Amino acid sequence: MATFVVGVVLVIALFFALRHIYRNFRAGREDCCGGSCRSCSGHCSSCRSFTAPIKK
Amino acid sequence: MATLAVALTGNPNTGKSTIFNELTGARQKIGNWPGVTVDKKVGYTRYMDRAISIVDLPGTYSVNARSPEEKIVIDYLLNTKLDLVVDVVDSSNIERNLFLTVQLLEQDIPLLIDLNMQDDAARRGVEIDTAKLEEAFGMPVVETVGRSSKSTKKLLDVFTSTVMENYEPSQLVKDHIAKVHAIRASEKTDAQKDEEIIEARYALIDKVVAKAVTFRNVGATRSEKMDRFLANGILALPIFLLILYAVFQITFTWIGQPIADALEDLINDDFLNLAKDGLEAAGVADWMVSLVTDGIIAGVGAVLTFVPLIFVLFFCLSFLDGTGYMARIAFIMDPIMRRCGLTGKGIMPLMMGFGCGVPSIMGARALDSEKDRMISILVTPFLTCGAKLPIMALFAAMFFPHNAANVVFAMYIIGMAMAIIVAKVLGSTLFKAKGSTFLLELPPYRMPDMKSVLLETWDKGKGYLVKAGTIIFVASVLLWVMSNYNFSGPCEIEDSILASIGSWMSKLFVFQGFATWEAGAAVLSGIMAKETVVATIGVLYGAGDVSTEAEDAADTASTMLQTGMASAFTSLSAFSFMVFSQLYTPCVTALGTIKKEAGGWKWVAFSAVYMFVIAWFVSLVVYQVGRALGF
Amino acid sequence: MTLKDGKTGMTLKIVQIEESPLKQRLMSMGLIPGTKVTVLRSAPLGDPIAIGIRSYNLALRREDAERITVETVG
Repeated sequence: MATFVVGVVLVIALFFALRHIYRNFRAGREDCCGGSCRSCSGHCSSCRSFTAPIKK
Repeated sequence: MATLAVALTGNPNTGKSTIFNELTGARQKIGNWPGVTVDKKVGYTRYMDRAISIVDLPGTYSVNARSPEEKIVIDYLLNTKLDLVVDVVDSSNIERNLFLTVQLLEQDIPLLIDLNMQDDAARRGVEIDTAKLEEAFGMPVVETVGRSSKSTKKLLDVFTSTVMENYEPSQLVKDHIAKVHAIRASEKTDAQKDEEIIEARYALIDKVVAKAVTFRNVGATRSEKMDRFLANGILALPIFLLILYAVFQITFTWIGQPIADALEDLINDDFLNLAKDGLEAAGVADWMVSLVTDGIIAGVGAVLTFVPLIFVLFFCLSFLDGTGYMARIAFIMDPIMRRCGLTGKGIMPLMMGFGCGVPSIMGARALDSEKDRMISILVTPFLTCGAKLPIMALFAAMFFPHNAANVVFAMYIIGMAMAIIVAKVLGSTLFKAKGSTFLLELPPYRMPDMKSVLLETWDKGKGYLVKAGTIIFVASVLLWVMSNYNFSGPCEIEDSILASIGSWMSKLFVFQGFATWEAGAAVLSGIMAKETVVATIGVLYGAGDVSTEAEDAADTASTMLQTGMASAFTSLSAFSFMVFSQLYTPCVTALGTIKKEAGGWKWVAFSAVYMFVIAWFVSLVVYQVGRALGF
Repeated sequence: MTLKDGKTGMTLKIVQIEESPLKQRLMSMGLIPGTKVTVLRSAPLGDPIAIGIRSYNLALRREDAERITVETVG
């Protein structure tokens, strides 16, 4: 019985974890940093060039 | 009444985000602008019974629509019905900041100037007469000082009042706009027109500044004095290394490691035993107890233990970045980077690579040439990202307990050196385009706003917590199953599926000194996410078995040495394993980002293979040379 | 002379910027003929250099500085 309960809890947890991974994958999102500029080491100033890059 | 629509614009580094956070508090939504990965932040507030929505536009120096950010700003301003646009201006740098202001004025947008950081400007001898500035432009000017509720109230008062109606462009501005139209209508080449317009804008700025701003000579500013050491001549380089070294000492010796050790005791001793006893008492079957303790707690716990290190490191990097020192690093590294065919600016995405390779690969977009960008994308994964950090910290603490911080520092240096060497090779083979330019603002040093630094640290670090709970959790369950079963059912670990896959993989590492199936399995699982290497080791060598009477890192390591891991590695083969882990194939997410940014599976395959080969050779050389030297 | 020949501490006035893809970028950053610049310092091995212009500091390489003609002030 106890084994069954723990098993169910685990399966539910696995479901949520996999759903998270799948949604990330589908949205092209990334957990470390969320792909945003605020969360990469610094504000945008640190990763933006001075003015627009020259387009050839 | 309808919601008041307000947008914030301004140069980078003007404290715009701080004002946005202060105005809207926690009521913000972060999304993406359509088609590009640039944050779109919208916040809401209510003042004097008016609902106000505020959009924080990306910081730009101009709106020529040449970069994605500039395009977003100008498209948004021209195509959205806005009640008010706030141009946040860094008062101490008013001349260049006004360039954007003038450009916006030409577009006939309901504009308001927010003079920010006036205290800073006064220290630097820049005094602005707000009334005269209002008069010169014919638009409202509000003074603010970064984070203060008084400042926000001032802005909100203007938002909800009708003062905007009392202003109309001054004669000066009208003349300027007429001139711009005349230039556009003239018969000259586009480049000539653009140049003349730029000159006209600065001519206007010069006139306005002459009326409203006085410059006092205050001698060398504090930034100036600091730059004499931090960004001047050959001495700046050892100082940079010293600062980096201090960051590692803080992370791996002084602050991060002690917290990590305490957490490890908590997870691997107290919590593990509690869970084990609890489950056994409840009558849970042995295999399930093993799955929960030896699988999940050992695997996820092995990764969680290192989260304090990650947070401390991110805090240090965010802090450094907030001070303005990053621009100096780019400045002093340019001579070295240029000799590798890169630009000093490339060091900034690389430093971000210490956090995570993904934003760093995307950050390469900011580089000026296609060549710089491609090289940067391809070499960034050599760096020690936050997910590789646990591998380094674990092995260093275990096999080099008295030199842990130094060994980890060495790994970071090996990663950086490799990135630079490979950049040089790529630059002279695959990407031969002409060298790039280097133009960079050196902003004044500032004491970073602690709230922002902490927020940023949390933003970056929480990703690792989420990963521990999702991908590492799933991986731990998978690893436990694969290490306890084979196709005919439950079995000894040596006969498991994982053991057969691992031993197949490990044949590759005979000359590197770690040809055990456990190491092979760890390497393979690391491609999924680098933390999984540590999770695998946790599951296989049972980090949970470690009796933790140990009081510090050295003790923990020596107790751990009594477990299986000790016999699997020598100090030398552990070192060679660390070097291999540092350099080999990036994780799948990084590979996915490479596909998006470099454009194509070709580059994904290239990255995956060439990095593996380089890692294989370098770790081989490390092991064989080390052995010849008698280690 | 060009900005490249400027020695640390010198204050110079921009006369002209040579035609190049960089010209417009330099101009939008405030390097307009007639503007005064101060040479502040240089990176290890003497390149790039940092200049003070319009109350901010800008770093650029010597080869780009060579495209900017300047004259000494007073």
